[in-house]
Amino acid sequence: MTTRTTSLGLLLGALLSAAGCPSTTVEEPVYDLSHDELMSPETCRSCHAAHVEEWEASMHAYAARDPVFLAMNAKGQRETNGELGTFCVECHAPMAVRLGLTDDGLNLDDLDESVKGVTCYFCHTAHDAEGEFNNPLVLAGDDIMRGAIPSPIENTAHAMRFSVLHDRASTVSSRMCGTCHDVVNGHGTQVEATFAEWKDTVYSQPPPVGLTCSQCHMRGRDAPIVGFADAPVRRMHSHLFPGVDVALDDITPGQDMMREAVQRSLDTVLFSEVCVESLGGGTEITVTLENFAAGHSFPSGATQDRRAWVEVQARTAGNTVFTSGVIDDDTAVAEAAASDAHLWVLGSTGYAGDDEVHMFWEVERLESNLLEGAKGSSPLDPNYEDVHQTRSYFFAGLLPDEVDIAVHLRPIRKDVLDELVESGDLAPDVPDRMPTFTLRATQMTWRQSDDERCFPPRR
Amino acid sequence: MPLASSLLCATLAVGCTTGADPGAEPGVSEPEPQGPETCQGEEVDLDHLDESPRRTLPSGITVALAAGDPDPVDRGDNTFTLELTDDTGAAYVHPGALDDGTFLLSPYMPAHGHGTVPLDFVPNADAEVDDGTYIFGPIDLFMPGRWDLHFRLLDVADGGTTGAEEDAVFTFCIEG
Repeated sequence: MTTRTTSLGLLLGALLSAAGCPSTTVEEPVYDLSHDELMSPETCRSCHAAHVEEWEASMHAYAARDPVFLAMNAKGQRETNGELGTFCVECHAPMAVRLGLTDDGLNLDDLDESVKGVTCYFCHTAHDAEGEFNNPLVLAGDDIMRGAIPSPIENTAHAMRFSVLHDRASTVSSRMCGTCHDVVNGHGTQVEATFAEWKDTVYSQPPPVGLTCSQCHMRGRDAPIVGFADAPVRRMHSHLFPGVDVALDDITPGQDMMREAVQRSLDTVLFSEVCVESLGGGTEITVTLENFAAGHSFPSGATQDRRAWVEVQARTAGNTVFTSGVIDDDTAVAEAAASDAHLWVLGSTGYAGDDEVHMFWEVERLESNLLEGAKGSSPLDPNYEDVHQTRSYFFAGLLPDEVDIAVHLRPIRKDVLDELVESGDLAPDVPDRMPTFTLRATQMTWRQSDDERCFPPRR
Repeated sequence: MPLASSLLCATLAVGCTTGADPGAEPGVSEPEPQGPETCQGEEVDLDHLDESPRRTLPSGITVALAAGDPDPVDRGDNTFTLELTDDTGAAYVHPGALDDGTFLLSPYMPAHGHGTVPLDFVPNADAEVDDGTYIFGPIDLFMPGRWDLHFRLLDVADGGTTGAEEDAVFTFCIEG
């Protein structure tokens, strides 16, 4: 196997032998599962059924068959004459890369399922991170499964070891997630920066203030970790990893569970407020958004591909008197913006020189409008910054009866998907499968009859 | 200043009323001493639903957190039942409690400076208030860590004429 391994242990052993140090014979335990068996998530299922059931619904399992990834990789390899290399598969199929089974991700269909996606073996044998982006995780190569439990129960299946990288209570554990959730392209442009964003928030502070990636994205529950009889109840953590993306195919199991988890996490992420008042013969609607609960920016990840926007509708006597951000599923946000001067869009735009570009390998710089995470716990915190954003909408006319607002999010923007269809890299039905999420906590209605300037009313 | 933070900081950072230490009952042996409770590594006095914690406000009103679902408090949706009594021990009933925002439950994470969405919860309209019982929720406590539940009574002192606010705080830890 060609996994990156640290050779310090071997070196020390060789030196001790060479020095003639007396050795103590210790009987090595023998485990039932072979290296090849440990590589397959199906093997894990026999004892860790709940973990595998959640993982197979996750984007980690889906990573190597995601049609958008496959389309972007194919287009990217073609348009860069192969210079893209392992850039995508380093994170979408890392075991395949480490085993030398692919150098461009174009042959994933020919590979065994055990090397596709971000597998159990890949994460649970990682023991170091030699950098912070483009997957510099180091695998131990020793078939010892790392986890967060300091005293795992004895078993004959595989060896185990506590690892601080896997210990969600440790700030260090976020480095493990960060290795693939920060991405720098060939132009040196950081095209994904979730880990870097987190490091700039209050959530990256040590306990008790901070929260690690897995403390939010791996929900805990009390349950046995293994399916053994009499296995102790411990704090078990979900391997669903809900974020923003969801599967777009018909074969990924557990998608109702996954979409519900994504929707739930999005629902509480933003605080919003709408204020309405008469101003100079017209009406001014002011919308305020604050990234309330994401330990990174909103949106995050590949923000040049993500699009969030604010919908505002004002009505009087049942008639619509003002709208912005009313976008149907068949319309790209960029297309809507051309005829909606007020449209408030959250996301990033990539540029090569002065030209807007959509594909990540082309991006030389990003211009972003994101809702940053909280920097400090209160104004007394020296790291504190004002991170809320406000947008005002003015229209001629009397104070309306009602004003509705909502924030919507598309994980991948429609015009990028359409471009991939047009190039022949993406099946035409995929864009229609891309959901638009509405963040429920941002859905609200101001009513003139409430006799309050703002909703929710300030108390 | 972020709006959500400022709204809560202004009201929650001061004047938190905490209950008195119940102390040991005469004739009852003291329990084995236990180490301080912690939440995310922070030593903190935590409340527990099964102990029905209570606080007495300056106005004499006692707020008892009689029940919660789930018990213990957990990440996700939680419902809380509070029982209010006046300084004579009689049920404290306020005629406008369900619709005028006089009684609010405002969860808050002091470590991060944020609360929930919405920021404040009024008692559920179908709660039975005749006996001073008020039910709040479901309230999505969406993050692990320390949550302070601020039960806020607005404008109740001196018959509702002063505009003063009283605040009873119950502190819970949600395990990650």
